[in-house]
Amino acid sequence: MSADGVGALEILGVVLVSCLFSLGGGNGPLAVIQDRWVSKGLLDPALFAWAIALGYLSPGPKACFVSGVGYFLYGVPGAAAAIAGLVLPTWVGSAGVAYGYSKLAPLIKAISLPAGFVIAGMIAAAAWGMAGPMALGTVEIVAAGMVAVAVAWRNLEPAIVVLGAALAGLAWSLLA
Amino acid sequence: MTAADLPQARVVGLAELATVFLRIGATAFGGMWAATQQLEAELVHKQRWLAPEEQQALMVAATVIPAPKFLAFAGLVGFRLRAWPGSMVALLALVTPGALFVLLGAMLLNPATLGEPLVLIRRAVGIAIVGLLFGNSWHQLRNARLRGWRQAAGVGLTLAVAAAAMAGVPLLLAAIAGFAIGAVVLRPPAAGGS
Repeated sequence: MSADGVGALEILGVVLVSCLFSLGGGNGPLAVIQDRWVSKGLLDPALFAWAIALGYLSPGPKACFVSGVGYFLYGVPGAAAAIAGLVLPTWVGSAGVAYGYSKLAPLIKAISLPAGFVIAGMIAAAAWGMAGPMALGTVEIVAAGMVAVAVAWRNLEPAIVVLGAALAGLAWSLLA
Repeated sequence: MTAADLPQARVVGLAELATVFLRIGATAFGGMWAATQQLEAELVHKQRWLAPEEQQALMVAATVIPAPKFLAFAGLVGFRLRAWPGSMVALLALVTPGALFVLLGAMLLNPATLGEPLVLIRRAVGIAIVGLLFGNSWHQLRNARLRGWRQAAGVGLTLAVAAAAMAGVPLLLAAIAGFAIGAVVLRPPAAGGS
């Protein structure tokens, strides 16, 4: 399950950088991780999706999914490195904002307006990158489209989507 | 309750801080905004660490830190109460329950332990996650605070970043270019402007 060549330091570094893309939306890290490990074949897309699903089902910050990604890449040390990559920039960022919000405000204001649009593009690219290796059939594409519409227009709770999909998969496996 | 009603000069212990944020991390679902009432009940009314307006200000400040919002909020509250050590303790305490949940799920529900039945469940969940991501992307666009030509330019920016990444441009490069172009094109409207 662990990928060759991905160590704890790389996990720490990638998650740390990915955190910087949380501005404007919590899914920024996900796009960077998909780009760095899933699209390069270092992490199975299904395992990546599984880690995200667990993140949606778990209490606390949804970004905790990175511990699953770290585990799939490098075992328990990988999970610890991923959590460190999540916590360290947040720690520094919190202190920075607490100290000098007034000085940072103009820069943050300039970036925060386009941030939502840039993150939206990053997430779309991540979704596309995940869907590619899965070679979805027509029915599966329609199902993914229905989920997208439900989430975008009806604010469907992600945990319900994940639980519903797991139950559908269980029924699918029983029928098969 | 206002800031003036808060107890003066009470030093919050790190163990106490850790306990409170562990409890929040283990019981709050749906992210920072979804947990607003729970946070207010715990931090404002029960612990009396923050005034309501202070909690709201910290939540807004958390949104401008380039980090997951819920974590940033914990870091800010911890820093407000006990500076650097408090910030770290609050962060670690908030993240621990969820991280352990995900880690245990990844360890116990992996393909090696559950085998064939999990394959179809994982595929169904994978399809749902793909839909969820596209839905989240769309939702980001719908929530944009811009209208008119700025909104159209923003959508163009989204499409450009996505297309560049899909075409093989490194994602970070595409994103940084998107931020730079967006900061120039999508300037905040002047007061009284569109």
